Amino acid sequence: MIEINNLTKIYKLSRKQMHQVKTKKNMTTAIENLSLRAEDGQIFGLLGPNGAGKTTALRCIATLLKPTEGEIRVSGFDTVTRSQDVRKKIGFLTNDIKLDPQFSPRYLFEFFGRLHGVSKDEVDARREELFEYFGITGFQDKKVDELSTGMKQKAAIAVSLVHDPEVIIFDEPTNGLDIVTARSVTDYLKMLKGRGKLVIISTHIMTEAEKLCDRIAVIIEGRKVIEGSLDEILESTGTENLEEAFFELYRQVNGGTAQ
Amino acid sequence: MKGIGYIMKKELTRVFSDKKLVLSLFVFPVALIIGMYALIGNLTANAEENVNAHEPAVYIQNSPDDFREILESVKGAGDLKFMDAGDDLEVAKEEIRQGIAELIIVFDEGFAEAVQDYKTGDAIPQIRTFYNPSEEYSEAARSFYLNGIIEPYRQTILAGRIGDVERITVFTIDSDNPDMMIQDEEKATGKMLGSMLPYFITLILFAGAMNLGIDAITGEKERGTMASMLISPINRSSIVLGKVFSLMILCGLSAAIYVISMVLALPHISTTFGGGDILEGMTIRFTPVQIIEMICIVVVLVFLYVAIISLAAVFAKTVKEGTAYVTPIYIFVLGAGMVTMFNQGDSALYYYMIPLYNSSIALRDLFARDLSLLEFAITFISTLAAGGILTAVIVKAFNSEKVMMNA
Repeated sequence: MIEINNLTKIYKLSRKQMHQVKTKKNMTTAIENLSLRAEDGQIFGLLGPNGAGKTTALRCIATLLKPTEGEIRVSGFDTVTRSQDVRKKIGFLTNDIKLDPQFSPRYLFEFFGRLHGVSKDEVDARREELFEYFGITGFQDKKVDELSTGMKQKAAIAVSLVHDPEVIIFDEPTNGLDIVTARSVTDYLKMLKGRGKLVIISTHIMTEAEKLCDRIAVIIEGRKVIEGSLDEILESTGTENLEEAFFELYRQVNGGTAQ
Repeated sequence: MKGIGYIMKKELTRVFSDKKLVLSLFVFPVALIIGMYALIGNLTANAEENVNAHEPAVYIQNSPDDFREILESVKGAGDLKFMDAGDDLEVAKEEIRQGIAELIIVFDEGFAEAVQDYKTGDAIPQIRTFYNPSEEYSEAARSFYLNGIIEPYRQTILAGRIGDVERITVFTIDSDNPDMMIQDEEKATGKMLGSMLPYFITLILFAGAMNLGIDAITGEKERGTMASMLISPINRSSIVLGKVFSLMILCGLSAAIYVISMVLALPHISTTFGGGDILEGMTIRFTPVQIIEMICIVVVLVFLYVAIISLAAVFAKTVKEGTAYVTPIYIFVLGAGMVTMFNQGDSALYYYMIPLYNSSIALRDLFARDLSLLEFAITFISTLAAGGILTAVIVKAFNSEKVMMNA
């Protein structure tokens, strides 16, 4: 279970960063007062445009960032005071976390298995299952550097699941994958949900969120504008599908047309 | 703490499974340094031979007849041009300035008569020389003429005038005393070694640590592979120590390979290419205590180097930036090593408390057998403490999202 209570994340900008984003303020608010609750056996989607704060929220959940205000609890553990316990429970994958190109998927799978304290036998069993599912077995001894983009992503997913985590946090899990591979990833996420795991993903692909997520929170400019099941969101916005609902919400926030 | 072992194993595997890295880390630097030594030895020997073989062009004005006879019988006297009293020296001087001619020797007019008829109170006859000290040939020609020709010429004249030259010698100094130098041979060679080796050890240790350290920390940050370790449930300090220890092993190994190959290759190079003097009697024996002291100093020194480099690497956002941070430190460390090559005096005790500098002087003293136990202990502890403090700062930085996530 993930509980986020009044999470606010403010970044301090260096002079260089201030110059880059052309601002005179030395602070930027990535997330403002976000609260949500995601239960086990659910796929929870954070939906929002680029720069909305989805990745920041996921990094806060994964203990990589500390909340400026508010608190986050993962499986009952606070992400700041009990970060190590949180890290035992989660599998985290984002596009900017990569596998070391020097090593083979097999080596990295075993390495991270050891870091997570998984026994040798269990690592072997997990590797067989995951590598087989994602079709990595034939490539498991090649260097990551030599793998295709899709294969790298699949290997990264497999490695992030080595310790059979209770909570799976994926930042845009199908980004850069072809539709066949993307489907195998979303199918696997559904299977994890079936096993009672909590999966939280971020995405800007509306159709993916529609098909995959049990609950969706739409985040625009760091603020949660709506949270609920697909039906609840469509009902409250009076729209036919998620894309229309999203633009309706976007219009409300920006007070104009979403162009 | 198990995590330290896993991280170390991964870091070492990464290096040793990469053939290019192994070559560039362990093979090329050694080959390069030995090659350079061979080249320098070869060039020095050639240059020396060249100067010795060169036939100097020498102008001689007002030469007495007997001097001329001597010159004609001396091998290697060179290309001689005799000039009379009235001849202008300016052309000859210009040739000296331009390095075309090597030496001008001017005898006073009527030199032979003045010597012959000398009475007490007369002006002493003079020979003047002109040469160009910035030209090696000219310098060598002058030295050859003064010591090899003019001085014997004077002795001959003196013998003619006095009869028994020994009467005016009064006494000699060390003419039959081959044992005049009383010194500990090992200490003397050690002193020579001590002035050179810290410099080389520093060079190799730091250069190795620099490339590897920046790659292992900044490189991992830049490639996005560091974050995957940060979200695993091991202590950040385990990651830091795992990286620091594996870097120490790699640097120590590269330095050991370097020192061993130097010891094996240098005598061979020196006999092949001449220039053996530098290495004369370079056999040096250490007592077990000295060996232990040396190992201790090198180990804590490597620890400190790795800590310094890792610290710079943690704060750098890109490998390029990391290299830019470390380069000035490298120059400073080289400076500390170089000081020992020139500064041979005893150092005050507080110098042994200055990290980096103290290891250099301690190694120098160790080779020269001058390192006291107290000096050793101070060096060891202060270096270890400095490395420890820096490592603690690195662990703190690893816990900072600003540093690790560029947030």
